[in-house]
Amino acid sequence: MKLSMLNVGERATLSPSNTPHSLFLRLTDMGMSTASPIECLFKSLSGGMKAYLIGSSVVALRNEDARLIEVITK
Amino acid sequence: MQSSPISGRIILAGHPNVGKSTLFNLLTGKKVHTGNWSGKTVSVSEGYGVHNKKKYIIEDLPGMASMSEPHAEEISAFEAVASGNFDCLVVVADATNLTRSLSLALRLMELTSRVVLFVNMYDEAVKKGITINSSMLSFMLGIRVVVGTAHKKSSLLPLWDAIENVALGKSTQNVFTPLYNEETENTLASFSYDRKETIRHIYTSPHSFASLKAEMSQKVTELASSIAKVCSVRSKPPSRHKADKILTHPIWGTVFMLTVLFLVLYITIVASNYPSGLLSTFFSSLGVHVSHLFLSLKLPPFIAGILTEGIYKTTTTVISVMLPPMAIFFPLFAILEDSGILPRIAFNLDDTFKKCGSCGKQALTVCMGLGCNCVGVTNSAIIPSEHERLISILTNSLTPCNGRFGAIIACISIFLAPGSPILSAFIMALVLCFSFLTTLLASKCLSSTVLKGERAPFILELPSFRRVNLLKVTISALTDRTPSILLRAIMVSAPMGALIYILNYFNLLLPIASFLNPAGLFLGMDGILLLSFILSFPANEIVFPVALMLYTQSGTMVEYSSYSALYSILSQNGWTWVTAVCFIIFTLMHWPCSTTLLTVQKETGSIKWTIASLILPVLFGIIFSCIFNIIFGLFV
Repeated sequence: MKLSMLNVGERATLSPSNTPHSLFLRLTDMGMSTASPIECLFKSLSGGMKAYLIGSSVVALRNEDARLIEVITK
Repeated sequence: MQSSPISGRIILAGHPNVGKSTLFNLLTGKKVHTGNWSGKTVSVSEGYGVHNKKKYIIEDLPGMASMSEPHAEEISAFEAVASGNFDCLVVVADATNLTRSLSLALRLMELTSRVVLFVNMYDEAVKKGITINSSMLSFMLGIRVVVGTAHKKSSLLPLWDAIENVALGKSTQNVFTPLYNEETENTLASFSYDRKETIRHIYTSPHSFASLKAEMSQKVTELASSIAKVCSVRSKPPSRHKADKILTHPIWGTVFMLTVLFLVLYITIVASNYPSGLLSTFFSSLGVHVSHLFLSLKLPPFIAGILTEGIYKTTTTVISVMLPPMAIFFPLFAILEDSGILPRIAFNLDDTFKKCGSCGKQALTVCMGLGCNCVGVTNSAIIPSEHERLISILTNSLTPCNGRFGAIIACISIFLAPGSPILSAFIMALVLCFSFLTTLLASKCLSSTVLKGERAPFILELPSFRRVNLLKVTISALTDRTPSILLRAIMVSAPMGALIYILNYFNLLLPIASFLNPAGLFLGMDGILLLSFILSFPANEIVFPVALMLYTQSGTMVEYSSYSALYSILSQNGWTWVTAVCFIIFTLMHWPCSTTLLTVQKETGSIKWTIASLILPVLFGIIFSCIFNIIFGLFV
């Protein structure tokens, strides 16, 4: 599923099937990896952005950007 | 000391917002601006540090959030590390987020063995129940590790000892290097360079080797995570701040942002009145002695007039009008900056800016612009997309800087909300909301016409909330930022004061004002006000004093002792509430001050965009003042 589909409070892990693109590479440098879970923490006032716990950093992404990242939920 | 020989070159690198600038200040004794949001340092700062009577050059590099897909300022930081042109690289790590910091350290250690790891913010980590075994960390990484807090001098000595040891080559370090999987290692070995040069080649080739970079990045993150688990213990589970729930709530988040804006303005308005009056009285009485001094020196009256009525009166007027609101506004703003609230505001406003062709980070530059437009323009470098960065630069002067606050507040207090500070603060908040809307409108106009561009992915880091040390933040804002901006205003207002005196001495000002009168009336003002705006090009702070000088024909800048005295002067010269509103609109939207314009030229490197930044607010100012004057001028 797409990362943008993660609701607040839900967790997922990075799918190994992702093709590396510029956003993906920046996020892997920020601690996103197949080994650590990603958690959706909260969303912005309008809902256009969501904040995710990636590694131990809180990173906010627009929904259309988060759609570019494939994740797997348990 | 500056002429003594240099013993070494030290560079500070690390992720954004890990306290590099704070450490730089500690090592050099300089006062580079710091705050709790990513990307404050957008250029390299250089200073000198001294240890054991040896002098070192110290460079503070911009934060490196990504090596695989770097932005422009990250490339320059990486190049500085990859060049090897230093004696010691200090990687600054965040003790509260060790895994992430270690992943960068491990990657930089692939490029050099002259590394010291400084694990910063240990005090915050301890509060979160995190303890770090620095000896184990040092053993595992094979480098010197110092754990401390960058704003505490107790961290200085062990760090300097570690730096000196590495910089002077007193001992060699057996640096740990990551081992990747077989396929990646084979790929790395297939390059015709040595290992370091290969790594450098990969990271300095943007948009290439994507799979290799992703593989290496994830492997390093896993390694960093394993090392962090062995070397640190967390006694409390990580907790998310409840404040985020309030700040991002659809209703409470909006209420919070508007309340903060109102409170900051209310405190600034109410608290600056009294010291402004005191300063004005003080400078007036001092001015008598200054005049006597020049008389006793038997200077020609014309020269004495330039010095006293021109330069002295202008600069003291600027100080008494500008200093109190600035001295109150900056510490309040610094509290927002240090606490971590600003990135949350950017997070909440991203959707709004996105619809106008920009991104939430522009909200940060708008906030910076409230202090000083030069700072807002410079900090636009935090926006990675070129066209969005230009939008932020060109529209920043639509946000009124602190220097324009005084005149706007005076107009509101006299004509729109006499005798009511609460209503004044409310109207001032509305004025700022209006300026925010014009910024959005201008951004939309630019992004739909000359600055069309592909929308870039937008990543915003939300740092942990920090408990703000009010006393430290207040002193730091007062001593670091206020004097420099005040000095700049004085430097430009002093020669302008002399020029205004000379023009007035030869009776040139009023004819020019008469010439400009039709245009001024068209804009809902008059020729004197328009001339005052032109003469205030070096510093917005002097618009009102120049206008009052021309109205009273006093031949010198006029400081008003009370709002009632000011009302009397202005109403005698035909001012109505419509004039006041048109004046406020034009104060919000006219040409940027000379320093901001020079900053735009420096940041864009383009005459075309510098001229655009001059024309854009003027156009908006003319359109809005005319419309308001045409509609509401009929009612007075």
